[in-house]
Amino acid sequence: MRRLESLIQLCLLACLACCVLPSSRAFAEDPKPEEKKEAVDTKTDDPDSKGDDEEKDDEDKKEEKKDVYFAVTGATIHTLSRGDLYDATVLVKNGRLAEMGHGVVIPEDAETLDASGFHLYPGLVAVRGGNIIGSGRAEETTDVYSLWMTIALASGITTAVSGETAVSLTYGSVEDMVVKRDLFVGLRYSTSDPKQRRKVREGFEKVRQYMRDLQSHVEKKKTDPKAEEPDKEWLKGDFETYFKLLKHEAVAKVSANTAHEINQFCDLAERYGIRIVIDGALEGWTVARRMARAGVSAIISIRPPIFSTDTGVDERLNRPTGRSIENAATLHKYGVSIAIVPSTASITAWGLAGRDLLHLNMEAAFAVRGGLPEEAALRSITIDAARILGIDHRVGSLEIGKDGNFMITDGDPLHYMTHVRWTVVNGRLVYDKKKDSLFSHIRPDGDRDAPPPDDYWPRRLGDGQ
Amino acid sequence: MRYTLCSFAIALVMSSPVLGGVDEGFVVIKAGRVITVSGEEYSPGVVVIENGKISAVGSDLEYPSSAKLIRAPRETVMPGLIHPRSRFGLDKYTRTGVQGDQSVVDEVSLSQMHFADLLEAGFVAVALVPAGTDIPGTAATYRTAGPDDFRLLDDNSYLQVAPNWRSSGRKMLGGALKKAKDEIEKVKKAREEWDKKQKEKAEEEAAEEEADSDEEYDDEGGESYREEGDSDEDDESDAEDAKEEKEAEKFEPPKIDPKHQPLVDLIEKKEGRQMTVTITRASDLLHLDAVMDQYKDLSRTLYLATSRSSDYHLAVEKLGERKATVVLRPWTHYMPNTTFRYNLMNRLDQGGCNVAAMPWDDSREELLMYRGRVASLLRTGLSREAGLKALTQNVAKAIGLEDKLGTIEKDKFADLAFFNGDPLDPLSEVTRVMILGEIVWARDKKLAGRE
Repeated sequence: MRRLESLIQLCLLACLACCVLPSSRAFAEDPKPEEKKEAVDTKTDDPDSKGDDEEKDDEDKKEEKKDVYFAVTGATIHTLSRGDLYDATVLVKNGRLAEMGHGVVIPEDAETLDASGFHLYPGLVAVRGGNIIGSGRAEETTDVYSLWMTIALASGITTAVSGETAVSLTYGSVEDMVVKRDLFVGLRYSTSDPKQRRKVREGFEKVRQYMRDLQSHVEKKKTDPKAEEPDKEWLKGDFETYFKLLKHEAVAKVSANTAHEINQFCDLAERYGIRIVIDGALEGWTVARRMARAGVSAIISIRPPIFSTDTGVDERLNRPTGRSIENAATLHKYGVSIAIVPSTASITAWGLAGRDLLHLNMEAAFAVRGGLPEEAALRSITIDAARILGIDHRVGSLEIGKDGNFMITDGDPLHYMTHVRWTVVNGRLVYDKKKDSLFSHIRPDGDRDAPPPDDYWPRRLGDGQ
Repeated sequence: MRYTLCSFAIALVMSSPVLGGVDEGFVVIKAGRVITVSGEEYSPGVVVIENGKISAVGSDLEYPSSAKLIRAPRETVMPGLIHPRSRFGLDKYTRTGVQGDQSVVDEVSLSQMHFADLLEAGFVAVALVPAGTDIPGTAATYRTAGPDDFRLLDDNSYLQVAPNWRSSGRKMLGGALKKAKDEIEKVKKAREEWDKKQKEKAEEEAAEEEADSDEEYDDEGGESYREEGDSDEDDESDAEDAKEEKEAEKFEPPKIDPKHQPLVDLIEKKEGRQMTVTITRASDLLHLDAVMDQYKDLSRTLYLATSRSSDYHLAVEKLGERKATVVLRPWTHYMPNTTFRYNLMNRLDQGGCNVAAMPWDDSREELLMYRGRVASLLRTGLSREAGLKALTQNVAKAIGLEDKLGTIEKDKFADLAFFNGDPLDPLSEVTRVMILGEIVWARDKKLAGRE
């Protein structure tokens, strides 16, 4: 027995070590890759230094472009990927996270924000952007002073999607906006038109055959250099899309709500090994196992509308197997990666009812009511959403090298009382609750009865006269 | 072209006493008050005009006794108002796309247009703009009255740039600028190639000459002998050579796309060329700066198109830093989505901008109310000086005529307005309008003849 106990103890110790070590290592090692990078940089610089003039030029340039630092101190940092840090410092250099942890040396010229007692989370990712961003090419048409952008930032959103482009909400600047273009490709696979479905499948088969031919051609060429390349004149339009999908160069976003539709796409995903994101997935919870097996991910609303003005109440979605508040929880349980977005994916006047982007966090909170673990709910509007969009290397969690986008809240972002206190995008303070007219009067910092601050005049309205 | 013609004609007139009337074109205004806008005010004031241009201004001046005298003891004389952008009397004809070769001059038919409303409101000049989005063409400035030959003040006041910032505006402007730069590069390249060819040719010739001299001639006598005794064939070939040389010497640059010519002129800093860019919100300024990154020193005026409610206050600092010239409608703007109001014109003025005002629209009511609207901004902080400048001097600046109009100074045109009170009193009225030293409009017909 004692041996068994000691064995168990050993196991437990090992487990503990496993749990603790990686995280501690993570933070301890974080600066190191930077150092390594720098070391590599200097190495690559060395050959240049042989040409003295060039080096001087480079130095001049470096001097001209001063590094811009932004630091937040004292906050509880929730990285979402590597655990939490208490009373720690985040340092952003030139818009990217440079250092994070305790004992970070803050450069003298850094803009510093004391966020003691507040919580720092990665900025939220809205997988649909609506009116926050301009139509057309986002970085060329966006009104970076618009009220919508301010409201989005006040809700903690730092990245939004317009059309097929993911954009950082850089209030007051048009630089460094685009995170990624061409997020998804479209894929038509109609459930009501068998002929069209067959055409799509035949298309995939044809492209797959072409890929096999290409492979055998490569093999052939090793022995026979004169081997002819397979004809690819026809590889245009839809076929090109299929080719990209089969090569895993693109992800298809499709709209599907009923179990039948979802199953069709799962079939397609399984048969051809392509990546599909299902937008809607109202009945996803009834086929969650299937979705997980096919490896599809889903963009879902927790409280989708029960009727539309066009069709009235949709009986199909109101039936017992229709939409459910447990949708997110079930999908998560079976391992389907989910992004949560409100049913109205823009900032609207009826957003006060809580179903627009102003309440992106509340939509995720409702998923918790349906059984989704809190952490998963938070991930579904940050890192998981970023992963579905293919921009998790830039946003979604706090890691060295990622964009300096975060929201600093006065509490748990899934709690209905929580307000965003500051929002930072690309290392620039873009929202300050105290200085903006939106929520400054609600539970101001410290004493509730304290007189309004001297600079009460809302920043959005400019300097008061 | 028209502008040069016009100025040429004026020069002609000034040398011959046609316009002035009585004696060598001398006209003298003795007014109760003269507001020069450029600085001083004289009360009473005297303005001496010679051949349609102001030659002196002061409170007590000597002038030829034979000069035509205009007595206005109860009136205030000020530089006439200028409308910086108008479609007065023009059709609702719009253009889109980059149309730099188009000009509003082709739309104007002066005999069809009646400027009485503008005169009644005290305007002496109006810049007519081509309508439409993107780059619909160039604006031209006309006098509101006067001899037909002198109506056109400037046929190239500014290039109208009105991008649709909400959709493809930035792309359009960026593309147009790039095209213009490419055209410049094209000419430059052709020039370099031509230079290279010339050099090669010269070298070849030099080599040939050297060879010739080495082989054939020992002294000059031989050469002259040869030239004299040349055969016919040689003569012809020489002539051809000369022809070729002459042709080659004249460098003909490749033709520049006329639609982009104004932008090319702007980038090459041709004198008197500028553009007016329409800005609908503060954010557009950032987009404009991004697109104009390489062309920071292009001469440009900004037209703040949005009225009543705007977020331009966010751009005041940026505009002030670069001392921008801005054209806007007089109004205490609402902050966006609020009922807070602010005096945008005052803020821009305080920030360091050159602020030019423009009437709300071309209706008679608005034209008459225009001065009053500017005057009402004085109530909320706008300085009197800024108000006067916004009506005259800065408008002249905005349309590129600051050395001809806008103030009562020596050598500026005598295009003036007379008021029966302070110009910034909403209740005062325009009594007379003078253009090139002649009274062209008078409220009271008796005044027109009173001398």
